[in-house]
Amino acid sequence: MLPYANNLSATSFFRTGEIGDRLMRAVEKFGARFSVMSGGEITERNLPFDPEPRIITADEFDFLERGLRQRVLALNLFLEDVYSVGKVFRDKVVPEEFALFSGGFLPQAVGIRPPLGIYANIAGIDLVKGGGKWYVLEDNLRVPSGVAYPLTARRALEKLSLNEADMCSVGVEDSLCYGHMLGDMLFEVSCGGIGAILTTGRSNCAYYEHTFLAEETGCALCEARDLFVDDDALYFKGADKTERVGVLYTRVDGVFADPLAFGTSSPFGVPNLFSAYAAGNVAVVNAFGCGVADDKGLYGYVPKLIEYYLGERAVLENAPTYLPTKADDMAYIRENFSRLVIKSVGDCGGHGVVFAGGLSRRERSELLGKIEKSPRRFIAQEMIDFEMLPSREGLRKADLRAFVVSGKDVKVWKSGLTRYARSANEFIVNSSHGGGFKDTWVLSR
Amino acid sequence: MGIVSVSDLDRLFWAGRYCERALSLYERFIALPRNAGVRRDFARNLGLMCDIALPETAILGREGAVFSALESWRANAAQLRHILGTRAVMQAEEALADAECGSFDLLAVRCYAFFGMTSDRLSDVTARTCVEAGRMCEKLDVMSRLKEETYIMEDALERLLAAAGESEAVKRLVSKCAVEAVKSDLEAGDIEAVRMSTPYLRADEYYS
Repeated sequence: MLPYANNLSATSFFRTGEIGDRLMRAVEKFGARFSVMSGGEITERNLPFDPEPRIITADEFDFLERGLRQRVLALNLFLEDVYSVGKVFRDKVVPEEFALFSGGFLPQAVGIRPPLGIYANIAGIDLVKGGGKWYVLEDNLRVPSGVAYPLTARRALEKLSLNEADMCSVGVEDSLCYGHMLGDMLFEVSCGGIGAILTTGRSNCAYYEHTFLAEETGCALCEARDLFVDDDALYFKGADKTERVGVLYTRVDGVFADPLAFGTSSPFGVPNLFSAYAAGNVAVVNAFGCGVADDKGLYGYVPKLIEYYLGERAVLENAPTYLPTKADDMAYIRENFSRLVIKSVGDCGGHGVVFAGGLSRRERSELLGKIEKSPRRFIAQEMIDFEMLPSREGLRKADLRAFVVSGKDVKVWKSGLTRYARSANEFIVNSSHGGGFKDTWVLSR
Repeated sequence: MGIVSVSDLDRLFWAGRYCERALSLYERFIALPRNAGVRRDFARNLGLMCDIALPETAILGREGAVFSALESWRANAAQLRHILGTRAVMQAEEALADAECGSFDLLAVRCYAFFGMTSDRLSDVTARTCVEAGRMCEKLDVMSRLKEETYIMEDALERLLAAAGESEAVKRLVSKCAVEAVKSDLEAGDIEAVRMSTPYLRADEYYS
C-alpha cells in the first residue's frame, strides 16, 4: 500500500500544485516515449501525461475485478475450445464461420495446447464508464500494450513522494507489483530456459514499454536476429554464449512472429518459432491464435460465452452492439445509422472507428453500402457518452485499459492505463490519435 | 543481468562513445580562452563548419556537436534500459533536457554518474568493457583531432587494449587492424595518421 493521498480531493492538488509540474517533468525524464515511424524515419515523442490520477474506489474495483476475471477466463476457455474440439460451434453458441473467417484464426494452431491451456496470458480490456455504469468496449488479446506508462508515472511519483509525507493518510494499492505478476506468470508457463521479450526494435511505437518490461521482469530483450530455432527448440544467441529460451513474451503479433509458418515475409519474426511452440519446447505469450477472440465480431458474443463456459451472467456489460451479419441487427443499423459507431473488425489503435453522425449524407451511404457488401467486416455500436475526467487541459473523455495476467491464477492488476482525449469534443483516446495518459489509483480498504 | 545480445554490446559501445564525446567536447571547449580565433580553430579541428556559425553555436547550440552527441547517447542508452536500468538511462535523459534549456552545468556529473552506474550495474565483463572500449575509442578520436599530447593518447590506447584483452567479444567489436594502426602511428608520433585510424565498429559481422 502506498500512502499518497489524504483524500480524493487531494488529487486536484496535482492539477494546480507544483507537485504536478514536478511529476510531469519526472515522467519525461524516465523517457516514457512513443515512437512514430514516418517516411522511413523514427521520431519519438513524449506521450502527453496528465498528473492528476483517475481514482477508483475499492468497492468499484472489486466489481471490475470480478467482471474482468470472469471475462478473461471465458475467453481463454473459448480459445481452448476453438483450437481443440470446437464444442462451442456444435452447441451453436457462436457461428463457426465467425472463427473460421476471422483474420485472427490460425488453422495451424488447431490441436496444439499451450502451457496450462492458457492462450491469452496477458489481456488488455478497454472499459468506459457512462451514466455511472462500466461497459467493456474491446478485448485486446494479441499484443495489449500501455502498461508501462502508468507504471512509469507511479515510479516517478514514488520518487517525489518521499518528501510529501504530509499528503498521506488514505492508501492506494501498490501497482508496482506488475513486474512481479508478469515475471511470475512467465516463470509458470516456461518450458525450461530463460525468459525473453521479442521486440521489433525502436521502430515499434511501444518500444519504451518493451525495454521497461525487460527491466522489470529481468527477461532478455531480443530482436528476431538474436533468436534461432534448432531441433524444435528456441535459442538466444548472445555475444558470449547461447541460451535456451523457455518462454518468449512476443510483442510481435502472432502471424508476424514466424514468417515461415504463416508466410508473412515478416522481418520481425523468428523462422520455425511455431514448430518449437508446437513441439512444446517454448511457451509463447500470448499464444499463437489468440486473435480469434480479439476479433471485434466476436466481442458481441462474449456475454454468451461467459454463460456457456462458466454458467454465470456477465458482470460487465458490453456496449450495445449490432452485427450486420444478423438480419434484425442490420435492419436496426439501417434505421439508426446516424447515431451509431461503426468499427472495422480487423483494425485496432482507434483506426477504423467511424462516428456515422459525423459523416456527410454521401459518406454515410457509401459506408452503409460497404457494410451491406461485407457484413462480417464491421460491427455497429451505440455511442456511449462516457465520462470525462478533469485534466490540466480541462474535462476530457477518458477510458480505462485494465490488464489481466493469467498463469496458474487469473490476476487483475490493481491499476490500469487511463487514456484521455486531447480535445474537448474528441471520443477517441488512443495514443496513436494523440491521446494522453493518466495513472489509475485503486484505493485500498 | 543475464545474457547480452550482440546488438546490446553494439549499443553499449556507442552509448559509452557518445557520452564521452559530449563530456570531452564540453570540458575542452569551456576550458578554452575567450578568444574567437582559438575557439574557431577548436571547432574547425573537429571538422565543424564555423564560417557562418559562431564556434559557441557549433559546439553548444541546438544543432551543435555536444547536443548531437547527447541525443545519440540518449538514443543508445534508452535501448539499454533492460541492462543498465532506468536510473542510468535517466542520466542521459536529464543531460539532454538540461541542454535543451541551454544548461550544461551538470553535464560532467551526469556523464560520470552514467559511467559509474554502468560499471556498477554490469556484472558481465564483456558488457562492461564495451562501454570502456567505446569511451577510449572516442578519447583517441577527440584527442587526435585536437592534436593533443601523445602521452595522454597512449594512456587511452592502453585502456582500450586492456578492455579488448578482457573480452573476446570486445576484440571482435573493435577493429583489430585499426587498433594496431593507432598503436604504430602513436609510436611514430603521427597524430594525423592516428586520427585517420580511429577504431570503428564491425558488429554486423556477427549476423553474417
